[in-house]
Amino acid sequence: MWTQYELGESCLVWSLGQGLERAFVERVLHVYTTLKNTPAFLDMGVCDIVPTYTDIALYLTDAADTDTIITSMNAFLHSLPEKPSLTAGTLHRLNVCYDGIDLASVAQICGIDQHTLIALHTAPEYMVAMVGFRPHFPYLLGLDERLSVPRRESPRLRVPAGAVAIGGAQTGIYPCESPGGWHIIASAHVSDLATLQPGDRVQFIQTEQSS
Amino acid sequence: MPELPFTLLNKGLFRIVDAAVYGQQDQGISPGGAQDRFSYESGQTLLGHNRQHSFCLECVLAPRLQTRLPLTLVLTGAPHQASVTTPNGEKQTLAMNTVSHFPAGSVIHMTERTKGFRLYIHWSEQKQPQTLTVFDAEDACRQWFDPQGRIRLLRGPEYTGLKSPQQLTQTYWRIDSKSNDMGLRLSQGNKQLNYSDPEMVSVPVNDGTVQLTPAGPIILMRQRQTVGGYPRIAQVIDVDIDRLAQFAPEQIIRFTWSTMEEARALQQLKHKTIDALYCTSQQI
Repeated sequence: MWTQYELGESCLVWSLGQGLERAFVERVLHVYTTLKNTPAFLDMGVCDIVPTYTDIALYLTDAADTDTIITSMNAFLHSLPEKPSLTAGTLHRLNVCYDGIDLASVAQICGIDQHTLIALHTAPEYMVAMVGFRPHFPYLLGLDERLSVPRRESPRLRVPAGAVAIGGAQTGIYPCESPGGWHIIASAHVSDLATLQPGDRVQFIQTEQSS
Repeated sequence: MPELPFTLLNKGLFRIVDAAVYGQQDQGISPGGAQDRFSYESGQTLLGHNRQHSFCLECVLAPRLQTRLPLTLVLTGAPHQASVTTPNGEKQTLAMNTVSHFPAGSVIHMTERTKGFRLYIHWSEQKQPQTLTVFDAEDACRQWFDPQGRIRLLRGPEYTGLKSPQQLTQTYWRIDSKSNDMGLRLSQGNKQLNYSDPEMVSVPVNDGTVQLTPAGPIILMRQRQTVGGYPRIAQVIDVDIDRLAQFAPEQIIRFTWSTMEEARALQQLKHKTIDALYCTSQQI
């Protein structure tokens, strides 16, 4: 089931679950990719579709027919199977250099050596669950549980662009220099981030060269 | 960014802004655009641009400008005293919300604003057939602004987690000096809004979403992030986001509750005013 709510006059949101669970993410991404590829839906006055871990937001134009959009969306969600099959998104292999300032401390918190940390971080195929809060910041799902570390107690004022970082059960890449509370373990090429879409897959390839 | 048709005689403090651009929020790119959309849209409409909006200057501190080309100018937003000295030494008053045409080499001076915060300087290289279209923006805004000057809120999705929601509307809030185009940070001295369970994953946000951060509430403005992990306790109604854009840091604001019905009706009034303005600007 789902709940529906508004964020002001111009944004309708459907919440498909609570908490960080892969099943909800896959459901949200299935809805997102289907709607994005349904021109008739966009023609009703939807100007942006934003997936997050649990919720999917539709931003409306001034001319949008809100009631029709709500009815259509509810009908679509009703028609969804229990476990919709998510079409595999594009796979991006990103070269990263494990030279992060927090690499040693994260290994220590996790009780493993740095080689194991790198092996565990490069092993999975991550899913781009969403892109936000800043332009092109990918939230990656699929971090090995053994690498889950709480966010830093005091966020850094300056995290460099391209920093690959871990925050709780998530890993992500900073597209531009910004403040941040995640642990920096590696560096990637910022130019690789521009094409990442929600639903895409990411694999990290270890390189020796710093970007 | 466009090449400006002005020489900056004094830099001021401004941003070059355009209409909001939708369709990229799933890439983490917020629609952005002018902070005070009504002022932006009314200025563009006075110039005869219908939905084909272009760049303008959004000024917190107005620059001193000299036109490099013959230009049609309109000032909207925070009222300023402005005058123009043409190359032959003639000095004219430049009224707010008025379409006027000036030759190349004219110097535009603006003294301090009389109220509000952001001034919009719009230009067009097209000469308007007549020099005057006056629009009473303050009078128009009176149709949808709260007569008591309050900012109207709708309940946010996480409103129910607030331990004392009446604190939002019963006391005044100060806009913190650390506020920017991304968001207005609010404070009430040492008083804090208490929230029952702040643990949540990142969810969608919108222009005007009031998030409750550990440092206090923050109202997301046009250059906001696209998702956020703080409780969304309230939502500023559309017409009042424009009004907030005209509040300066350190100013005091007060909230009151509204309804979606009222919010939509007021938004309609704003859109109708812009539509009517376009029709007027085309008849001259």
